Amino acid sequence: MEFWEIFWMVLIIFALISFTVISVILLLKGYGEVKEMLSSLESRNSEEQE
Amino acid sequence: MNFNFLDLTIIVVYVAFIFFAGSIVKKYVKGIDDYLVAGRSMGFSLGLISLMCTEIGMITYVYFAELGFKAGLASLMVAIPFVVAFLFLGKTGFVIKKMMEMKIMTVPEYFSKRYSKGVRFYLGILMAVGGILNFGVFPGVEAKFINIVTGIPEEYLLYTMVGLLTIVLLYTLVGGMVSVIVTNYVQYVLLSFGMVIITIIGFYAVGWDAIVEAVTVQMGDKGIDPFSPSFFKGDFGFGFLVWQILMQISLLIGWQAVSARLFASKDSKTGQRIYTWSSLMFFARAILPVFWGIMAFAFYTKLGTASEMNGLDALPNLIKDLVPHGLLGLIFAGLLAASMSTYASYLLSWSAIVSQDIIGTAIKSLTGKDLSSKNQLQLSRIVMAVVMIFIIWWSLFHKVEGYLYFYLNMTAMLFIPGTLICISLGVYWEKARTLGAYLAITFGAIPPLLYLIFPEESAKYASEMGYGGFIVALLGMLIGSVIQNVYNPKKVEEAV
Repeated sequence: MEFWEIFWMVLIIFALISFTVISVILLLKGYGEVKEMLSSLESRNSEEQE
Repeated sequence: MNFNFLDLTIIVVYVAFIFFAGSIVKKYVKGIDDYLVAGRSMGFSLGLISLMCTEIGMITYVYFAELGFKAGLASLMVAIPFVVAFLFLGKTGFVIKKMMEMKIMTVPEYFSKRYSKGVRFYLGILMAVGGILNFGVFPGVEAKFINIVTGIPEEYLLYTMVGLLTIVLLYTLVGGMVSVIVTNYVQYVLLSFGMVIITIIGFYAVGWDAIVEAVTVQMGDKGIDPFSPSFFKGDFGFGFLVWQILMQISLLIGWQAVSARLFASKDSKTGQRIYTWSSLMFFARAILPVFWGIMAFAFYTKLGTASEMNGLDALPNLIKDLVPHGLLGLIFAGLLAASMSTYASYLLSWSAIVSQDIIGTAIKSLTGKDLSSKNQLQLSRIVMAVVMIFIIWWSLFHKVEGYLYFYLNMTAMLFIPGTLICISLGVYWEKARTLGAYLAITFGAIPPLLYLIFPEESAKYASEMGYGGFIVALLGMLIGSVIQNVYNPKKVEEAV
């Protein structure tokens, strides 16, 4: 029983920390990607119109 | 109402902002390619955010928390299959690399290229039925959740859900995948904040010792050891793990809402990278909500009310009872963000299947011509509105029996085993034939169909029926392909 108790505790803490860290990184990098995606769509659509 | 003025202000500002952000991107959508896969321009971070938003809704929290509430710490085992499935596909590119290189927009589209238009049409019907039945329970379950957290009277809940869905429908209707991705970014800020804060507040209020004590005293060994009484007989043991790993791999290949993120990626490398990193994120996506359910169990056991509580109501009650005002508004906005992003993606995905693979294929067979991009766009929008009306109606009249998690799994299983077998053998076995595809899809749908028709009788065999679906689908493919290769050996379809 003690094994499972420690195992689950480690798993929960690991999940919480990794989720928090990766989310922060994704949000920081994602902002630039939103702008990049919209500008690539815009330039492609204007090229097609021409 | 459980909200004060500050909570309400936060929520109104959030909903208005999402609607605004989702609507202004309309100008970037010029054709069906932009509408369904955002012109295949999505990068890694955005792809991962969008995938998380799609697959995290209020309903995800509810079904995972229900598992934790009823099955204790042992049910944390549900997170492991996600890690295995994502890592396997992300690292090897098994099947998904080929699908991305083919530049398809929906999963059934693969079937018309590899097998026949008839198979695409047939699978499209099963996918639409399974996907929409799955999606159809979301509003009902989430309305109850909102009712408990906000205190909105039940008689107004229908209007609340219709209002919420209409906002989502409007911005998805105009901006398609571009709207979905942009709003996902905004929604993820609140969603991730909410997930971390609920975990910390709950853990601080309940405490680890109380959790372990409640689980071991009330549930015994089964509550903490997933393999109790043995690895082969435990509820979360061998059978469960095999079924779940197979199912998660299949879902990541064949679940349109998920694979649409692959198709929208810049290239196959980006797609694979999104899947590799998703292993960690989806691990947390399961662990944290299951843990909230376990905390709710310990909290209400201490208060002496756990035994009277419905597992589906445990999490909203915990949030209502533990989160202070002000923060409650933010957390609830995070919950709404989770739901709205899922609704938007699911509306887009299932309407894409109906418009592209069912109606589009039928029109092409009858007229011999493809619809123009503009007409496809119009058709997708009409179908989306119809799908929304259907799910509201369905959620009002359908009551889920047994674990919600298993109901959702089984509706997906209607097409998932056949899809996995047909695509993987289609890619790697050149003798896979059209008759085999028909039989694989049909045989694979039988076990989950039995589960959905007789939920009470089959509940204890859920794992066996789960992995059994894959075995019979494989048999169907082998039998059908052998028969067709014997009686019609001339045409050997090329492995695509």
